[in-house]
Amino acid sequence: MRYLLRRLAQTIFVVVVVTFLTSVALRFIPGGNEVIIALKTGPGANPEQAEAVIHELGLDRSVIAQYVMWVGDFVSGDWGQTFQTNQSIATEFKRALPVSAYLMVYSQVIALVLAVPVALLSAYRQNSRFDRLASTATFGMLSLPNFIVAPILVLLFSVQRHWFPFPSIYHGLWDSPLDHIKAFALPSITIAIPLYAGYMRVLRADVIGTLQSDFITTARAKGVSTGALLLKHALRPSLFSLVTSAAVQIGALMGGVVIVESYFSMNGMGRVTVEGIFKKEYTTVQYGVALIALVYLAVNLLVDLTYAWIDPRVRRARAMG
Amino acid sequence: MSSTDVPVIDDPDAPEVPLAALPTKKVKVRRRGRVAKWLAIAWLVFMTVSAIGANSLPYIPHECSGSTSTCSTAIKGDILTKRELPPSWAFWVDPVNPVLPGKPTHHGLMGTDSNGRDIFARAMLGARNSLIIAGLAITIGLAFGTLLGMVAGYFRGWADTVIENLTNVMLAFPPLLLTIFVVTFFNKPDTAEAAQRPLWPIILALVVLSIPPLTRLVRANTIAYAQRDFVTAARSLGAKRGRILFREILPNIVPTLVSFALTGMALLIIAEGGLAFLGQSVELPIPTWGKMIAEGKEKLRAGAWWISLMPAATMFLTLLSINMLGDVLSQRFNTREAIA
Amino acid sequence: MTGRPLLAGGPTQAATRQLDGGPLLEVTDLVTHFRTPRGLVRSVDGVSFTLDRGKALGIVGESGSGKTVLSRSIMGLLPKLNTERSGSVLFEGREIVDLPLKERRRIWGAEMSMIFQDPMTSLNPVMRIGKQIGESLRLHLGLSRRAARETALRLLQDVRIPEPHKRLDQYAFELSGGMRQRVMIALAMACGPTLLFADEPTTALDVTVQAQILELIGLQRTERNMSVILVTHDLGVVAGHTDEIMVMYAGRLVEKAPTKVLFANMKMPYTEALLHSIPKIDDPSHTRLNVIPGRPPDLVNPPAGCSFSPRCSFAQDRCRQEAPPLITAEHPEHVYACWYPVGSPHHRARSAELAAAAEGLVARWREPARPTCAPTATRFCVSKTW
Repeated sequence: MRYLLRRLAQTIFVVVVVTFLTSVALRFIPGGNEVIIALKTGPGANPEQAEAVIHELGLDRSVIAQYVMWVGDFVSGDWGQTFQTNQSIATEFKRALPVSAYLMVYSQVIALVLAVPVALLSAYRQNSRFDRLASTATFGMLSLPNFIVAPILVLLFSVQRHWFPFPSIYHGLWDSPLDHIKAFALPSITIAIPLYAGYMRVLRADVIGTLQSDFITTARAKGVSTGALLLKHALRPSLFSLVTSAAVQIGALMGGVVIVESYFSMNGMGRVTVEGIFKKEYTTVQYGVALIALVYLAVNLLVDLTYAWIDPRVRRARAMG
Repeated sequence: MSSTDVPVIDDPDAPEVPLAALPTKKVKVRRRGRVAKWLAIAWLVFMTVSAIGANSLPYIPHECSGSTSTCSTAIKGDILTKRELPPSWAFWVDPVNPVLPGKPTHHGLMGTDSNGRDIFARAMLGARNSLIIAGLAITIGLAFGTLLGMVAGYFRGWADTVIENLTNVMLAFPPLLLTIFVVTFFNKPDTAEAAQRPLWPIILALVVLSIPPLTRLVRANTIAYAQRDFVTAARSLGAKRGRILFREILPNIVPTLVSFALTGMALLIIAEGGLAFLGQSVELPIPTWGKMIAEGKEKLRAGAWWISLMPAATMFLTLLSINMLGDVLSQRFNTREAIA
Repeated sequence: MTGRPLLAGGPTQAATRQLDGGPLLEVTDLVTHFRTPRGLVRSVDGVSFTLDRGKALGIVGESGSGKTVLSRSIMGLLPKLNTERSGSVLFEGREIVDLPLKERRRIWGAEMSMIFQDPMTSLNPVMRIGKQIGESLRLHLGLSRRAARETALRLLQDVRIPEPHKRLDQYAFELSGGMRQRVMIALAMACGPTLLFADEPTTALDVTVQAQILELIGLQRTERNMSVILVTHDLGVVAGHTDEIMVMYAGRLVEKAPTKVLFANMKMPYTEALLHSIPKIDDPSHTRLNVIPGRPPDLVNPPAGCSFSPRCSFAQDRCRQEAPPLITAEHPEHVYACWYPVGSPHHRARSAELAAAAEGLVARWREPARPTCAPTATRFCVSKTW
């Protein structure tokens, strides 16, 4: 319990610092307030307009007051408009969120569904031909950055074979499931490849360790079949690192797949934020960074709770600590 | 346990041989791994040599001597052809847009790009920037990370709290966004179009990226070693803190650090590539790999795959070699630890 | 503890096969070698013995004597890869050495089961106790989830675990070492096996708990008419709990006799040394332990002649050249492998010599011979080599 409270306090601290930094970042923009005013009102703003802009962003107040105001806006969802195109920032992120979420879920599912059986088999038949093949392939995938995989996949399956549209056009899952899947297939696979590689390596190593434990011999001496041995006895005690890395990836994927989103022209959280940087839409960047960071932190906090489920020993240690 | 040279397990009850171990096979595998390891080292040496001596190496086509900016094939391209030529071994590819009859239809190991520049030469030259950027960044990051991590892990208390929370804050920012932000921040707004963007903002961005995980790693290891008997022994002998940190603890962390740093370097090469892919990396006469891949991505769909994929392959092999080396090192370290 | 209700799991299987008369287990010339980078490790090198139904056999030896490998080899638990196994194991008259894995699995847990040394690590840390016991019940006896749970409960009662209801839903880490070993016993006993291997079942436990566990195994043996093979390095452990004792050294059987006969008249100097290495309760405190000098033999390059000869205080040239065969002693069931057994003229003469010498340098000679390498030093070595 004390441990959880400590983690909670830590997370809250980080949330405060991160949002504080993003909120005051406006003050350190190269070019200063003039740039913001110019962006907002177009060239040649009159002093009243300029003042209105400055006031709206809280740049005329103290740092603390600006932060409080910003947090208020952030929580209430009143995120204002983009500087140049006058669009609602909130709406933009509302559209981006499902794109990122789908990408994250699909790539995670692909990576995990492949990694778990391959890792189990690889570990069970350590150094077998299958294991060596799988391990080598995994190693290769680890060295394949997104921006190499994406063009190749597009070349193979969109240009030469026209199976998937390029660039991807977003379709809701319920509006047109087939188009939805087609749109998300290539980007999800691209993200899943290095993800799979990481998971497979982590799980394989852990399963190899678990398989050497005494309780596996006990289970074997009970006459348990290989499948049950791996799934019932070896898998769960080996999940610790896998769950950690998979969970950390949830947070990382929500905003960290800028390259894939950009290449496939999908407006996810990462791309919207990065475009914000490029187009000097500083408020968009603020909210984007804050959102992504919050998701990341929330997920990491949840991971700690999940540990308890995987390993009852932790449950007790935490309960007592 | 005992210092005997015969692997007798002292524990009276342990099975005489590790029952689950697969001894003979392991020997075989190790040999297999050794070949791969040497290949990886060979490739990295090749890349380093290319990066350093690209201007004058016989295997890189060049029509110049001295400064790279005057190298025509690699940098300026063949003005006459000004078109992409497939690699000479790609016999199945019809050269695109054969304007000038009599001119060669295939070129070199990796073909040429749309400006008629030799891709192999550029890829070898590109090794320089990619490796310098990632290498410098990881070295600086390592220095900071080690210092912070050791201070946090050894002294604990408020220093630990401060450093841990700072690390957490830094990790909370999405990494690629952070680097893009740093890079755009230091590339003053209106010089974005300027022909040359300096190296240091991107190195700084990558350093920022690498510090938190390295700090965490060092901290965890320091804590582990600080509780070991030999540190207690040194302390009880009156060794000073600095001595304990640098002579007792640091040497023990170094192996882990080196293998982690190699993986980190691979990640930084990828990060730089990602930045370049988004058009945010350095603008230098000699491109980085990421930039070359990015430049070729439009032509990829038009059928000129080599422009993008040849530098991609170079990068892939380099990453693979670095990762493999890191893996070999960490495994070797693990077995040593197991013995001790 | 008389008049107990029906035994859990049921001794039915044991009962049905009671009729065929022959020994339960007949091991003939069993060899188990491991291929390692260092060479062939001869962990079990031609061991033969028989075990009758309901009897308890103790296998005693130091680490490296091959006793653990022997028990696992009989059961067929060793991985196939890089293992060379030959000889014959007849279990209830049936050859089980070359049985396919599927068939072996049918025997494991049902007819033969094993209790391991360390109850801390031998139970699955993330599976509830009830489920772990129930698993083999469901697997071999086809019980339903509920029936398995009820049987598991009765098994826990059988092994005298306090508050068995509560234990069903607990995890291994929530129990004490002794209780865990009781759970292991319940688990091994679940399907009413006819043969139970207990591989150092008490080594990891407190002395007070040790006796209880051995008592429990003995009790279960008589209640279920089960045979037990008790593997241990401690002659004291087997003394009160076995019918027969087999001493192993360097993968070979070096002495075997009914328990009483052995203790009354041991022949091998090695057996004697093992006995002397047990601290006695009536020794004054701070008495030095009689450690057997030297270290267990290298199983890759076993010494020529009698493998114990390099460490034997009574060894002669003959011992170093010729391996002694198994000889039958005065008692027909007592066999041993020694040229100069305890009680022989040479042995007697040499004993007197040694006693005289010992008089003189008691203190110095018995310094622990084994240099210990503290973790400190090792860590230093590592950091230096790097």
